Amino acid sequence: MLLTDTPIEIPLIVTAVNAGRTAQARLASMGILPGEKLMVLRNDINGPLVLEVKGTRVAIGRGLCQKVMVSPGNEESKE
Amino acid sequence: MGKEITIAFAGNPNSGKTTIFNRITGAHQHVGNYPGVTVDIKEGKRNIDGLPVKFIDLPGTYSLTALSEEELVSRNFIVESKPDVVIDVLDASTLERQLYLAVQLIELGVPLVLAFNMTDVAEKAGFKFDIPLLSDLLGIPIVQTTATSGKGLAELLQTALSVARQKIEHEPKPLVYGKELDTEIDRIVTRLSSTEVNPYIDLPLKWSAIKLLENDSEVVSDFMNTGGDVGELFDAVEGSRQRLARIYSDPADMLIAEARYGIISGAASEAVTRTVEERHNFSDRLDKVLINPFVGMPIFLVLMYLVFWLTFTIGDPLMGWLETGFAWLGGTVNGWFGEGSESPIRSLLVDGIIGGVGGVIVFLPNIMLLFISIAVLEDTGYMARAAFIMDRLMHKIGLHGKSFIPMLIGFGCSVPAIMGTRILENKRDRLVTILIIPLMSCGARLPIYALIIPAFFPSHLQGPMLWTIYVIGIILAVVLAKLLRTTIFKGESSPFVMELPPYRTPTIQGLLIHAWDRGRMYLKKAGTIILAISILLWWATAYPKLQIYSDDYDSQLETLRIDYETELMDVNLELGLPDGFDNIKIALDKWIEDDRSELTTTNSLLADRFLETVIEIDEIRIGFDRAVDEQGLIENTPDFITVKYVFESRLTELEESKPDYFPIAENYLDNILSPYLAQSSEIEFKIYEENLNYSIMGRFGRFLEPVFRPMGYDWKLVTATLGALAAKEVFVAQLGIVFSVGEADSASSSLRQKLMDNYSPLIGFCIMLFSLISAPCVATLVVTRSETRSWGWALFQFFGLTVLAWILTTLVYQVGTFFGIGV
Repeated sequence: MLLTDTPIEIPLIVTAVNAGRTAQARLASMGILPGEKLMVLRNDINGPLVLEVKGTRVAIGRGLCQKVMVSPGNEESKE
Repeated sequence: MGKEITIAFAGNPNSGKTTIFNRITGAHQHVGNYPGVTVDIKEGKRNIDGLPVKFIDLPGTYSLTALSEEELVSRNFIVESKPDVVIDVLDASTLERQLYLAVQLIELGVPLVLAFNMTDVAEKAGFKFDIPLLSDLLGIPIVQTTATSGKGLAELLQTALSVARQKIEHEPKPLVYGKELDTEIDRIVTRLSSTEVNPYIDLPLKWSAIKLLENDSEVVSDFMNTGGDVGELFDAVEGSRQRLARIYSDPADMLIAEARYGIISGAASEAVTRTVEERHNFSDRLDKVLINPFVGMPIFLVLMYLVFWLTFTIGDPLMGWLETGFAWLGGTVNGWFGEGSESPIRSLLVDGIIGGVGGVIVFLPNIMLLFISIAVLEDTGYMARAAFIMDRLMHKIGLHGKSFIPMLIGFGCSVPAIMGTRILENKRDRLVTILIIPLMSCGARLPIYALIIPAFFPSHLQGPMLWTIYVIGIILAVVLAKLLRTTIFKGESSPFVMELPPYRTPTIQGLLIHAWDRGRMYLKKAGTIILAISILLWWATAYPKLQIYSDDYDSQLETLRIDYETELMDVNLELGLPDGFDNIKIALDKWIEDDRSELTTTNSLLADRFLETVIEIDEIRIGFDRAVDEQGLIENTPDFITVKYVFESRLTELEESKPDYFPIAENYLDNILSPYLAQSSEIEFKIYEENLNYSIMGRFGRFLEPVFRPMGYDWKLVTATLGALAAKEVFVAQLGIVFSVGEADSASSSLRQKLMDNYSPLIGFCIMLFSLISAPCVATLVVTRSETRSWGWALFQFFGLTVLAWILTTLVYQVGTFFGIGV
């Protein structure tokens, strides 16, 4: 499902990032790339989302978030 | 003395990199000069163990791709300047993300030391680091530091120097990207080792191989630019990519990014443990409020108001002191030359250099205060939140959330605002913001509105009129931003990806270094290009000199002086002083010359009493004017009448206590001194006006009149507009000169009268509209040029806005004239 459609504060795993190369690399440098865990902390009606990734908080524009696919990541998959 | 050692600092933004750099280099740092780079690279020098060491503060980056300027600048610096050692500063509490950069530095094969910063904070948050194990796993020395207290910095330096002197062997463990990737990387390495074509002979072949596989634009073009035959090599890379595509769905660059994180989490799972998972810490709780869509915005606006208030309310008195200082300097230099000296050197020094540069340097306190405020917002971590909040709005006009802050500052002054766009990382966002900032009506334009509005508009329309002007500026800025975004700066707006760093307490040293950096840059500009332009403008207003005036002003002035002195003699007689006693005249002349501050004694009790009374009356009157001015009182309002009553009763009191001197003193002030000063300054301004007419600026004004005609301007307005190029507020003074009403300020009622007699309210509005939109002042031009590092953008802004102003003002004037509105 789309990152923008997920409930907040549940663990998620990125399955795909369908953005352009620049945006993809930008997200990767923040730790957002397939296989990585993250959590949505804030998702208001409009404006950027706030994610928790690798212990940091990152704000990502809504448009870009719509290009990130995620699936629910269960707690056990946390090492 | 050995060879100079270069140590470069790399690291993520907010990792404490700059704090460590500041701690180590102290005040001995400057912005390095790297041509073609709009990102600052700071340098600092220090002797360690008698050896000179150069420190470089690379821009904070998360990665080393060729996709952003900062990253490319950092990478190119490492590739080209080959520092002896790179210290990668990492925030230990977000280690995994931070190591992503470290892995790329290892790939570059550069001698590396990792500084685990803020380990104390990380340990409090429940992290446990096995530093020796991690260091061993990566093959890189690791030093734990606390930047804010300076702990661990000595050890960090020693380790870095040992690595630089090759006392510690630099032997990173080979990075394992996974079977398939490693196979393909090895294939490209083999191909590279058998070819002559390699622009990066000093770097590991593996790095080139990875970059080629990633399809890194810079590396690919460097290979092409070697001129060698790269066809086979590129075919091999393409083959590798296709083989990988058969196995994986992600492109090669993503696979490599994933592999890097794989390497990191492998090492971290062995050497880092987290005992307690702490949720909802201080930053979390603060963010619940600060980035809340409902509460966050009002808090942001209050904080912005504080920045504004600090910059201009605290800055203005300091600015006043500097102004006084420059006035004093001008006066002193003036004094070196004889009375009424016509020396061109005097004029150049006083009017050109001191006036011109002084007019620019007076902004220094505002600029320093603004940058201290910005530094506080940045160093506490709030700036990222502000950008987050504003992004909803700014996104709609194609700008970044952070653009809002410099735009707001533009209402005070465009110069610090344009310098403030440095907080924007994206070049396009930055350029658009710079270009539209002058439309935020700056403080220097306020005197123009303050002069014009009361002259042409009834009092109930004055407030709405001022509001209209400001709103027109904002609307134009929004429209222009959108327009620029869809034309010149077309393309996807940079994605909003921004870390919200944990909140921190800023260090005083960091704040001061930040503010001083900007201040110093500004001073440097004032001393060079602005100086040159000031001299040019002065020259254009002062030359060529008129030889013969239309009237014999000298003898007129002389007659006035003789009349004045005769009348003073009458005062002498009235006081009962001996005939020919001229000590009063001497004392009064000195008093007027010293701006009515010091009074010398006259050796006569009678004369002294009289002079005291003159001064006391004068002081009460000045006090009244000042009170009206400071409280912004409008004539005939109840407040005005109250204040007037207070000062009038003081005068009455004085009259009662000095019945003998008061009438004579009052008569002298009102009927002798004031007319004399008014008439002589009127003549002086006539001289000035004739000179101005004759000067290049005046001729240019007349020459340009036809161009400005369609928007209702005559040559006087054109000349005043040209003069305002130096600084917008000069417009009022220039207008005063061309209308020869003597010294004019925005509250000048005689100038307002002249304007009302000469122009219609429509023209009044056109003057304001043109002043709002047209060419920003020279200081803005120069700052735009230095911030964009291009005269092209500066001139584009300068002329683009002027043309826009001309079109809009002409439109308003023509439509207004046609429909008979305000004519």
